[in-house]
Amino acid sequence: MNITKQVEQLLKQGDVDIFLAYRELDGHLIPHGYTLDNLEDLENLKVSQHRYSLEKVATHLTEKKPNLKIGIVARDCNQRALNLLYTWNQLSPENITPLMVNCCPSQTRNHSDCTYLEPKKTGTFKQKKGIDFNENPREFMDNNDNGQRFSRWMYEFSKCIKCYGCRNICPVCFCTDCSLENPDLVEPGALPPEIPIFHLVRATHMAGRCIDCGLCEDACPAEIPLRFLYREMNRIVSDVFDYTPGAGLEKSPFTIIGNEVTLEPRPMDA
Amino acid sequence: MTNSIEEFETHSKVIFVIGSNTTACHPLIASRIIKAKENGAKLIVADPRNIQLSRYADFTVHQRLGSDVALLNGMMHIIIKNNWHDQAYIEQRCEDFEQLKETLHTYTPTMVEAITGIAKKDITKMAELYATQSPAALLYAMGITQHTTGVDNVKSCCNLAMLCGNVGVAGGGVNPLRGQNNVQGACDMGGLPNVFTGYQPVADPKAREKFSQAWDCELSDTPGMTITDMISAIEEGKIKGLYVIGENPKLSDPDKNHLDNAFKKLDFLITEDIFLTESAQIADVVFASASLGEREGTFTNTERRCMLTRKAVEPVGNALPDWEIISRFSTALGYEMNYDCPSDIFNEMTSLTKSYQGMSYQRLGIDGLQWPCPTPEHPGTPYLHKNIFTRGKGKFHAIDYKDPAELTCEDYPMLMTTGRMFAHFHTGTMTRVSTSLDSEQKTGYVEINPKDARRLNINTDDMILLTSRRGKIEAPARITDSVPPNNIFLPIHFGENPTNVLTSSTAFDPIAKIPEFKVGAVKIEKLIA
Amino acid sequence: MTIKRITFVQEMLKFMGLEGRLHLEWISSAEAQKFARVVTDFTEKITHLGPSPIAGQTRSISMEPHENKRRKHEYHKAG
Ligand code: SF4
Ligand code: SF4
Ligand code: SF4
Repeated sequence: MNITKQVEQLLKQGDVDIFLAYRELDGHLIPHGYTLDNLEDLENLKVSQHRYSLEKVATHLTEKKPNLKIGIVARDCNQRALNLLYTWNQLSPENITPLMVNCCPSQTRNHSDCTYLEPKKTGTFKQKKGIDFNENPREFMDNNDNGQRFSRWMYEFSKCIKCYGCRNICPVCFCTDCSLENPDLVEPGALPPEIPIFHLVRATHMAGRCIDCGLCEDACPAEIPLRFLYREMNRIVSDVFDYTPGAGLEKSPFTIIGNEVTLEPRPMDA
Repeated sequence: MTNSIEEFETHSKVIFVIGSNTTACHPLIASRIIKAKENGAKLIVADPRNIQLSRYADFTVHQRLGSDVALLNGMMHIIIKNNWHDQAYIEQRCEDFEQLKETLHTYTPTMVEAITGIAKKDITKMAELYATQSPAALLYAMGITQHTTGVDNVKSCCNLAMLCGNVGVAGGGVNPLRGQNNVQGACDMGGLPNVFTGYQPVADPKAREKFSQAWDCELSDTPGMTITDMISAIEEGKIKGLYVIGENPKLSDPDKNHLDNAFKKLDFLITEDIFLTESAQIADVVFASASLGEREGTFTNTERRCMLTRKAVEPVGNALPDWEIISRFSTALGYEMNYDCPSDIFNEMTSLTKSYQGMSYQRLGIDGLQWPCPTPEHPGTPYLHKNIFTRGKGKFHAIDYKDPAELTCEDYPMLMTTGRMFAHFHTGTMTRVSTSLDSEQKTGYVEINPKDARRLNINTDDMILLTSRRGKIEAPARITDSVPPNNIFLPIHFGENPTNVLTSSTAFDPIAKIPEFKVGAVKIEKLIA
Repeated sequence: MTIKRITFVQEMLKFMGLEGRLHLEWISSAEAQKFARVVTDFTEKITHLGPSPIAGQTRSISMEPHENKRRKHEYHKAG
């Protein structure tokens, strides 16, 4: 059954009150909520490589109407985001009906059609002063000493125009009072925002939370390698806490007190 | 813009930014400039202030406020002396080169250093960087135009670009970054006192005839007034009624005290805006207009790209789209305007305007079209003056440097410049009602160099009294070396600290009538709490 | 849990090029000497590392992104 039919059925059977997907309008693909009142729009429902954090829309809707039954077209990354949002009690699984669609190569699928997979180019100056998108964090650590790493990150952060695009698109940034807007943490009114604090605050919050959808990096007009940063945060989280956000319904280690630890404090090296 | 934004990334070898705080005012263009830089283009930044973009520049200079003509002339002097100019291009495509050369003769690095404060060797390096690789794009914004020598500054930019054969090539050009999404469109549509759409002069009998026929009425051949002229005309009692559309002159026009007096003399003031601005608050009648997303229409952006905007929701309350307000108003005054929809108006406009003639709503699609686009098959024009200048030959203007209208003196020992900050837009009509943007910056402020702050014993957030020949305002201090010593910077967005109390209404460019917002003499004092 | 969290922050700072500026040690109220030693050692270490490269990099100070230390911005070198 094609997806349009499936959505129509879900709506008609009352399984969902609203179905979040994309709609083609004047050549744009825009997020759209399909309901019984606009069934005729279904003919423009399209799935393409475009992505948006529909689960963020779902979170906002749920905030207003906690019992709303929401259907959602989902790729693997959306599914991870949904899992994460369940564990943070932002959405409840009984109200959400995901319809899975084609996605990035994974164990189960090898078809790929998502912006996430587009190879990124890094210009020569960026390679010299900043961070190469295609480098991996291990190489980055090996090829740069402490000072170089700092200056490369500062170069990247200094380009920030404080558009909040990274936070706004992020499916797992759902706080009502965002720390990035807290004047005690990040001084307002400055461009670039206070660096590296602005970016490190977000990086810390993404540890144990970021489901690696890559939307923030796609959105960032300054081409700051945000995914590279948050991936490394989660590599650490996985090493230290043995936790992968979005993989299942396990709660983030940062939200719980935890039990016995075998780790030893590190010695102070001179 | 003579060229397109995209070309900075795809073609430009050099990007020269002068008088534009691009990351704050045109952030997305700034991102493209940085990307171009990351991909290997050279970047030169000239700005009196230490702006964010200069961090990525291969070369940055800080010219003194208002010394742009001297700087540009100095660069050209060096270029000619070293034979870095494009002789073939000049001979083939330009005229009046000899006069320019003559004038440039005196702009030796020594003299230019004395006026601009930029070291001789730096001017030379900068000239070399700009001239020895092409194409080079020149970008400017209000830092060039808002001066008594605004037109001179712009012409000097054009001189420099033509001198190196950079006009009429992809990735080159002279590119003013316009302040609003549709300021280019407003000018294209004849939103200037002396022209119809597409810059057809009202004084031209042929153009007048064409429009008279289309509109079935007599049209005047005398140009109207600029805003600057209107204010004095109100004072003199020559104007009794004023209709202000989408502007907030109470904050945006110079010399507020003078302006307030003039406004009191008006018999009748109408404003048309999406919010109740400072100006609307004193109006006799306010027309509520629909905002973006509540109406359909087109915008023409800084790269001459005309784009469709569509209606997403119905206007709030009894607000109407501007076209409908104007049509109804005109009809009430006795000249009937009957349009069914914005595309009717668009089609009428294209039929009367050559540069838009090939456009239609259908063709605009998602990406829009860049004028000139004279026929329905024409793909639009990414850059102007290819092969030949619009006027035929590219004219060099021999221009001498003139001091700004106000220099420092004993009573007013500091130079003030005004501008924008990233979180707000113009007079804040739209941005200050947004909670996120408001939390970014709630009040006006004055930027002071640490040296001056130390001298005057000023700390961050101390209240400062600023006095100019026109008036006084108070604002909290922000100590930063993004302004040079002896200079202060004020953002223009804040009605409680209106910078236009300080700025002069008599200092404006004689041709463009643009006020000198970028240079004024002030005195600063710390207010004892 | 503290130790895990601190390990995380240590790793993060390392990735950012701010290695060595965070240390965790358990000291009981009875271990005055240990306390003195740890604080002295850490102070020494931090002094050795020099001022934090981020210190003072707020809006009021411009900085040179390519270098580790702050360079003062100069205007009008000429004249
Ligand atoms: S990749 Fe970016 S947008 Fe996606 S979850 Fe992580 S931080 Fe959020
Ligand atoms: S950046 Fe941090 S505080 Fe802000 S919304 Fe995201 S997780 Fe919450
Ligand atoms: S999207 Fe990029 S430029 Fe915008 S706030 Fe985030 S990091 Fe800064």
